[in-house]
Amino acid sequence: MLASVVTAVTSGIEGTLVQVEVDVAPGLPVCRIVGLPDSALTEARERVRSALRNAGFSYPLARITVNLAPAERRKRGSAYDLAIAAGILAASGQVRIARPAALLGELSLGGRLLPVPGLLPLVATLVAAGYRRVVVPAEDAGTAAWVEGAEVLPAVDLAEAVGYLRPVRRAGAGRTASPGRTGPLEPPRLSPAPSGAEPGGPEPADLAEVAGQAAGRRALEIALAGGHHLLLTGSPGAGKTLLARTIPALLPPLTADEAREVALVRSAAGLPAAPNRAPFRAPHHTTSYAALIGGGPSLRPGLVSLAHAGVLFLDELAEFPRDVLDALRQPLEDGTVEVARAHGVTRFPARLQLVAAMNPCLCGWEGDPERPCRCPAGGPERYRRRVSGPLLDRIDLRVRLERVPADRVLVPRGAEASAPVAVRIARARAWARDRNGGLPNARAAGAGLIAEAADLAGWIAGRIEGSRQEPATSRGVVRLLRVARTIADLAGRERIGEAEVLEAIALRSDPFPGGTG
Amino acid sequence: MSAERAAWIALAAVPGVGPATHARLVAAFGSATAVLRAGPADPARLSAVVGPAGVARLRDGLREATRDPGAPLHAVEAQGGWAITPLERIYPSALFAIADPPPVLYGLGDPAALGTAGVAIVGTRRPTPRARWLAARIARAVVHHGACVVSGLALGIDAEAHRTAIEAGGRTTAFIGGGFPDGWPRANGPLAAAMIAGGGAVAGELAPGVPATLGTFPRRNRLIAAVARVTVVVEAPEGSGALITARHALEQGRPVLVAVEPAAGRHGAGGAALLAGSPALPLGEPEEVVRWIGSVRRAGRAAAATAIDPQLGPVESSIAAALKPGPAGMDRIIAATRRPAGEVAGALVLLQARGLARPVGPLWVAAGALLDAGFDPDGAHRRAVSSRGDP
Repeated sequence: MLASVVTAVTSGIEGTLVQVEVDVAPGLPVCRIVGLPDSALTEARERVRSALRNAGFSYPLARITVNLAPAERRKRGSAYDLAIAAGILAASGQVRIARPAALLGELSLGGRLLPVPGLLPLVATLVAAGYRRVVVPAEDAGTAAWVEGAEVLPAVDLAEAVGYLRPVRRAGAGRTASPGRTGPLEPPRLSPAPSGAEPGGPEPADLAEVAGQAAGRRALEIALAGGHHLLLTGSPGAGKTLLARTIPALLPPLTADEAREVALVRSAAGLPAAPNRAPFRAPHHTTSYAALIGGGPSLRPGLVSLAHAGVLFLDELAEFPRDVLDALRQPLEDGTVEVARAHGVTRFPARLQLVAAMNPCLCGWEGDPERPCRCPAGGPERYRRRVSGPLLDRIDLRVRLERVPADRVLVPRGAEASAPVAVRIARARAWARDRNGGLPNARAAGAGLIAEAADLAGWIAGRIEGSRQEPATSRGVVRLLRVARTIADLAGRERIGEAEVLEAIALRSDPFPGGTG
Repeated sequence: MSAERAAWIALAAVPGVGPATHARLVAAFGSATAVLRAGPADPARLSAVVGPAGVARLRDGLREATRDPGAPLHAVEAQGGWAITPLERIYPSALFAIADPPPVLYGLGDPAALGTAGVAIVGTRRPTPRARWLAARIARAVVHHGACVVSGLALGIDAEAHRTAIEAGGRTTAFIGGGFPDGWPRANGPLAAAMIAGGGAVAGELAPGVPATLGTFPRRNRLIAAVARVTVVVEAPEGSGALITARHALEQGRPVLVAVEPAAGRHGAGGAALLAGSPALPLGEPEEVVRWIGSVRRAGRAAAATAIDPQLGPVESSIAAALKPGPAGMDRIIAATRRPAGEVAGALVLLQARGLARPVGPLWVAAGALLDAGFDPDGAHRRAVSSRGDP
């Protein structure tokens, strides 16, 4: 007898439907799994056999063939255990599938359902393909509920799982362990955590702790309000890292769509759903390429994807390996990252806001008013070239921080705390989203901005030329206007004016001025 | 004369012939032409001047030079440069004051600029923003006085002095440690071109293409010290080449001034030691340097360097006032002007576009007319208001 159930396979966060076909035929009692399984999947035979017996079902003494279609797609992991077991039960006549549902879950030998890493993209694939009813391990139910339109059926064990497939009336026949939990689950309501920082990230800080640094504070506020990438440069002790540590508390909460995307990426990475806070990731420069960009043996999303809809803070930018910095260009450009594998290319979302910090040179003291630089001639320029022009070009805000003298650090001067700044940022973001159809200013359409500032066009071109930065290309003007728009939003101004454009030019200045000659 | 000049230059180009050997050979044989004609054929006479070892070292080179004495000069001219010798009146007479004047000066630009009244501004290759500011102020004062800024076209203070002089409309000359066109740091290529275009000169005692060596940089410092009426050391740590220039100047009996920066610490240790252990004098205000130059026959170009009074907006004017006492960071400027950070940043863009301020590392430094003692930011604002007619 032949039976077929549905499950899914993912590559990155894009999934494909998988049909699990089970044929139980008379013959020697063997079980074969075909359709490019990996070793964890081949071992499913043993788990399924024990789980069936220990859950009170019988394991058919017959020739069992399990086919995972499409056959040319490589399948990995243990998420198919439940589907295989259900298929065997259906093919051997022990369970009649009256209400089809897709099945996801690993089985323990005792028949319990174990959670599956990367469940969310699997559920999303199934729902997108029209399989709204999805049986998932009870522990994963909260994660799965992030998928819009999914009817999540949580199960603690095999018996409860197949209960969802049986005809409705026979509720009593199923060994339902917890009848109260059979309905679809609401997405969990998560209260904001005290901080959006991941455990192990840098210690969060409040802007009240930052002495001086008016220019740095201002640039950070504009960056976070508009989603513009930001580069902080300065000598050691200038406060680059301290400023970055204030970011988690300044980021506005995620929108519903963003929260869903973040949960999806987190699930693909095997992480639990997070509180509704914008991600803030601060990897060390020794972090591996696979961990940062994505990939590795199990094809996990990297930190650039885990920072999706949030901030990726790269301290000591020039110390990151060249291939990592080159790989960053794509996420900064189009908001996704591609991980190339033997069997094709996987795409992860990675619409991150980059905040980077770096020293002006290897020893760190180039341009410092007090301490001499110890680098050889041409050393500072060589050090800066580690960050390529194309990457630097994508960073609209650059600010050189001055080392604050010790006497001013120790005397607090009533610096503004984070809370009011966060309010301004959230308000500016909300205005920008309303105007740009949900997008932050950093991604606002150029045409609208150019039209808005049409009467300033000649003046802007003159100012750009005058600032000796770069030729006034239309791309450059749009970048400038996006920043100017954010500055206007922060001030609550309807129109971009000369003052906003001037400040935007100032913020895009040479990050290492006057270093040579 | 022309044949003697070619022979003179050819003799100087013979490997192993330095200023002293050149002078002794010409003295012994009567002329450079005679050295080339008689020298290779008469080892005994040659040996009397340079010794047996010298004969072995020089004979091949002399033979080579005899074959085509005009070749080295042609090579120079092919590069667009010139070679001048003490045989010509244009050769800077100040160089006769030193023990071993170069038999040939090779260069680009206007050789006459080398002989004009000049002030040497020398210092570290890695100046602090404040030292750049000081060097620029001194250079502007020198230019306004009608004199020429002399330095070594190195990175740091040298480049600062040359660049400011050009921006102020003045002439500036450099003595380089290698043969042009590679005798200066690559980053200073555009600066060298601007110096030449601005009526100045870049000169050195090595033939074109001869690379600088460790010894050639200290040696060219004696030329900087010799052509300058006064040498100003701006910021010199211990062991700085600027101290060698200062020592040459003192040996030649020329005044040496040290721009004193009490807060410079290690940056200025060499300058401080110079003040303590030599007749060098402290330079108080940068503008005081002109008292040491003496009278200057103003060339047309330098005289034209009168500042056009810029007109400034209110925020620009107060930033200009904040930058007048020295380089300042954003926090200091904001505190002094009492304006929001964004407005100050925008006004700095305007000031930079006007050439009155520029960023150096984390600080902003005055530039252009704002470096002049007489510049009045308030007045610049008042003029702007009255010319526009709005408050």
